[in-house]
Amino acid sequence: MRDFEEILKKYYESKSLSDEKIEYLLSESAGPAKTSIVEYIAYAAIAAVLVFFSINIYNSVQNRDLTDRVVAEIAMNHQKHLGVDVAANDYETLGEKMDKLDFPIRVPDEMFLDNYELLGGRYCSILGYFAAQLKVRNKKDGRVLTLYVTKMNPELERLYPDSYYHDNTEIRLWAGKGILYGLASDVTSD
Amino acid sequence: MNKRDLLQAGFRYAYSLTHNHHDAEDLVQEAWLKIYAKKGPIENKSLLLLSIRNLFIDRYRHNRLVHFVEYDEGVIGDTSFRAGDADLSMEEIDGCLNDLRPEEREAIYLKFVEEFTLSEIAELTERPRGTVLSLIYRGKSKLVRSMTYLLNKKKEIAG
Repeated sequence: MRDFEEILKKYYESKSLSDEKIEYLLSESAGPAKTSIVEYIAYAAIAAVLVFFSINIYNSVQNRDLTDRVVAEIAMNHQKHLGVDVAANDYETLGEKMDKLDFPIRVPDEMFLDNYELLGGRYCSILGYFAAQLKVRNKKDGRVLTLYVTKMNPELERLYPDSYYHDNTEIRLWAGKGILYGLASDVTSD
Repeated sequence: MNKRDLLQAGFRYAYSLTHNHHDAEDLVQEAWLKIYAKKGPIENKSLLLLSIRNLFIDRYRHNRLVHFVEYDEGVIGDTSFRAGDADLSMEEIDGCLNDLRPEEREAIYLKFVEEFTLSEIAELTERPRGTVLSLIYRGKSKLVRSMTYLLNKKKEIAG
């Protein structure tokens, strides 16, 4: 029995890979495994997705920052409670009087017209863009609010339309027919 | 086990399957480089043997050169063997092994050269233990018969 095993072992020991082949295989398998083309494509796809999401996140943060700046500027100007330079009770008249503006002054919508009475306006700026701030009075409670209007442009289109609170001021941002509106009012305790 | 020994073990196992130097070399090379590409540096002997075996099956079964058949535990011939003073040449042993089926040579190699247990062989080859046992005894029986015949012939010539 022993002879049988010894004969077989001796036989298979006589079979061996050449040194050249061993050296070749060892050199081909030295270091970290080589990356296959499929892995490269997978890595590239992951990188592309990450870049896409990074850009989106970056843009989102930038847009949020821009909105915050506009909101803060509107709140600050509103809190100055400046009077009107041009008095007018209707939008058409005010638009005719404030003829330096490069956009039309018009009522945002019919509901606004029903709820607020126009008092007049003055020139101002938002983010350096030429604008007007209109004073309106709430017909129900008599409070005076400031309505900021300016012409839409690519930068302002990145703003998020919504309601915001800043320094005891409520600011509602929205856009319509190429005009940006920002309505600012004092935050009341009731 | 260092990598050189691992490569040699892989080659000898491949040789037990193919019984051909060139084919065995091809198998071990392909298996080695495949494992390396997928999993990095190779340390595991079982993984290498399994990969060689799978490649062998893919390659040779596809070419219909290997027919894996199930064995029942039938009558087994005499498996006792002592060479005594006479010697068999490598070419003669080669001829005896060449008469075995690849799966018989594989089982014989794993049992008597690699000294695997029945369970280890069954796990690697994915065969029931009974089938593995059958392959070993049938293969050994054939080998002993051929080797004994050659030895007796040599003794007759010498005597």
